[in-house]
Amino acid sequence: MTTRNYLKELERHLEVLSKEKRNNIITELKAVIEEENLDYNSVVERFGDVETLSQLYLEDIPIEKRIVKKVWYKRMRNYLYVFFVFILLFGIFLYIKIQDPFDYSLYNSNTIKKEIKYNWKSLDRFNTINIFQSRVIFYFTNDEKAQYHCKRDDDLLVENEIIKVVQNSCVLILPKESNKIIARQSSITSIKAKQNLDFDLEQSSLEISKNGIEYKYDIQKEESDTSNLVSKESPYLIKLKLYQSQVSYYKY
Amino acid sequence: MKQEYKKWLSQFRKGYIELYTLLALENGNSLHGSALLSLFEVNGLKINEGTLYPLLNRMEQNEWLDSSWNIPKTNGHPKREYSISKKGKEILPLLLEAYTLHDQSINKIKDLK
Repeated sequence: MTTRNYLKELERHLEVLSKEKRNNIITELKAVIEEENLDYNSVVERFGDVETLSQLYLEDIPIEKRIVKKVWYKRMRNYLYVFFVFILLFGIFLYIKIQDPFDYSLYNSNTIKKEIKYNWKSLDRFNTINIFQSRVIFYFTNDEKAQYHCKRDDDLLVENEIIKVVQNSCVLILPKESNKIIARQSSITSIKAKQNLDFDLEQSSLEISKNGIEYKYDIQKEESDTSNLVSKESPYLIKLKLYQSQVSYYKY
Repeated sequence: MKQEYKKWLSQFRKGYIELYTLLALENGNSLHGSALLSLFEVNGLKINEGTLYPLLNRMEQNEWLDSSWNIPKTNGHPKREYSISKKGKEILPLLLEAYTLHDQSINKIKDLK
């Protein structure tokens, strides 16, 4: 045991006092100990053991208050630790949950089917995709038939050449012909599209994976953010009709 | 027996150490703890740091004393210096009176024998 430990221990015993009072006491005793170059045994002999000395300093504070404040302080501190650990774990959980399972931009319509062993299903002809509260990744293919895989295993609804994706998470491989994509409260990612696209988004986000492909943008927006987009001269036009939405480039 | 005596002495001392401290500072001196200990020792009162410093702290809480830090300009540790407060000056005559009365009472009780 050292004199430093003695003072630390005393400070801990006095935690019921305000920080200023505690500092004054510790600084005063530290000055005496260092000035007279006292070792631990001499300190105990002259000041008494930590328990006794702290009791003398706390004499005027009612015992219940001492205990209550100590218990309250310790309990509060424990609650805070638990709270921070919970927040941390929740953050990690969210990060894992929200993060894409892999970098979608590493694949194209051909490689995604080979590399990712989903249960791919085919879709009949359609001209509009209507997405509601869903996460959808688009790849584009030269094939005539569209294919898809969704986390929720029920089939996509196709009515009057409109595909409906509702509260689902899907990967869609679309044929090249231009389709209108309508999304409400959804998150969309478009991967390496070498064609014109037409999006109508409300309270949604769109991420565009370029991979060296430049696009010309035709934007109509209201309360929306497209500040990251750079429109270039390009054969590929992306039409964006936005309301309270955000469009940016895809990053894994 | 020795333990009980020590306990009684400790309680008994607290009162008169407070009185001695106020008397030592009455003339407007500012003294730090070690200087007070030396002063008491020279005048026949041997007490240790573990008794004096908590008492000084308590007297300051009671507003009988004021304290300030004297920080040396070159080497050395900061020292907490104590001086008598307005309230301390007011209470000192009352403490002295009580002390004298108790002293007289002891003598009177002794004389009864």
